[in-house]
Amino acid sequence: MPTIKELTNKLKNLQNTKKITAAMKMVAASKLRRAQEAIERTRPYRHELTTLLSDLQSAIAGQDLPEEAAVWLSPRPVKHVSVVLFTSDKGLCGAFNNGLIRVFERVVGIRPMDAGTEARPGFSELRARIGATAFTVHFAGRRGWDAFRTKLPAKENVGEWYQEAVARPSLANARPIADQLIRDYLEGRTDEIWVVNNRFQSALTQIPQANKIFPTTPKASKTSNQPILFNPPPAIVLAKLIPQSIRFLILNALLENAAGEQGARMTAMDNATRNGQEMIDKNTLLKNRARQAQITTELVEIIAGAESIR
Amino acid sequence: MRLPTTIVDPEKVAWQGEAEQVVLGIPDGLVGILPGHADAVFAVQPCIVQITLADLTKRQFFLSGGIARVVKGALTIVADSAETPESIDRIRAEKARERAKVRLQQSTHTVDYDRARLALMKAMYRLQIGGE
Repeated sequence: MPTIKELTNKLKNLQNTKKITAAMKMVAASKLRRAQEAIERTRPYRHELTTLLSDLQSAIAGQDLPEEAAVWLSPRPVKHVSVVLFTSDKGLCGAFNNGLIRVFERVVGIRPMDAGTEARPGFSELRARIGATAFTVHFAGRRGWDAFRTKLPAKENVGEWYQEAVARPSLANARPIADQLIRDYLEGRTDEIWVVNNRFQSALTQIPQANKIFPTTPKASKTSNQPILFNPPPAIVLAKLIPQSIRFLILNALLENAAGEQGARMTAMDNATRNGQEMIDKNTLLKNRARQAQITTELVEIIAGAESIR
Repeated sequence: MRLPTTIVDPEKVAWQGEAEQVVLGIPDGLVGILPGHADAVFAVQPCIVQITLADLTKRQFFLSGGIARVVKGALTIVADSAETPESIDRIRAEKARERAKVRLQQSTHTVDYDRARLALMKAMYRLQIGGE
């Protein structure tokens, strides 16, 4: 049976820890709000980009591609795949990183594939690609870097670690990642670009996903009222838009990752605070019981003493 | 008649309003878009966009490239990034200009040369619009 003093100390510690987790929860909540607003602000651009891409796609249908545009628009055999893995820099966010890392371990063949991963269309497709061709994984976020830099099958598989990106998800920080990928593609070092990240669904759920961001074929729009005037020709406009859309998709992954991280942290800290309260309740009970036992013992002793004098 | 104009970049809606005229840089030179323009698509070069408002005041933005599109008399610019004069960091732009100049002199490879030229152009436009 612990003494009253031990219990008092323990309670004090528990209370402090609870205060910290509660504060962390609050901080995560406000950061989450900011991250969600940032995602919200990208909406108009996303909308314009998507309509523009599909309109251009339908405008170039059946046309010969000018040389400038061919590098982006004509398909080429896939000999190398680039993957960017997004994780958080910091921990204390529940299973946010571990879930994604475990799935990705299966994709790169460190662990055997399982039915759950196989069932996710993006991951099974990426697994098939990686199994057949050379690949490089780039990292945004320290957790992914720590998990994979020594574990990937070959040295060539380990790419860059972009250290600044996750702490401040912004266009300026998305650009170095995207521009490197664009350069690699233009200079023939890579043929496909994939993004692996947690999709932010709510503060409670983040879903690991793998998406091919290039090359993809946008859905051609059905509208017949196409602009007549293109300067330069539509294929070249589309070719110019592709790097821009790669930059946007990288930014988007950064923002989703940030929102997911804060959401996961908020949930984890909420649970921690609740567990802390539970432990406080249990220990308070123990402490009271110990105090009552002490009082009872003392009373018994006093009565016994009084009895013996009589 | 006015020209409803929207400039968006990945992070924000940079500007939205009714313009009298918008001047853009495209590969062939400058193009001025007036209200009632026919439906069109332009590739925008790194340039300074000049927007003339109804009261003849002007607004300027630096665009590092993008696509402009007129649909049903409304202009939308999907910019790679759009910067207002206030948001430009002069010191950073000046450093970028110096860096680009050095790179331009050293580069032999055509790809490097083009990239350096573009970087120099961007830095100079930024400084111009960031003005004294």
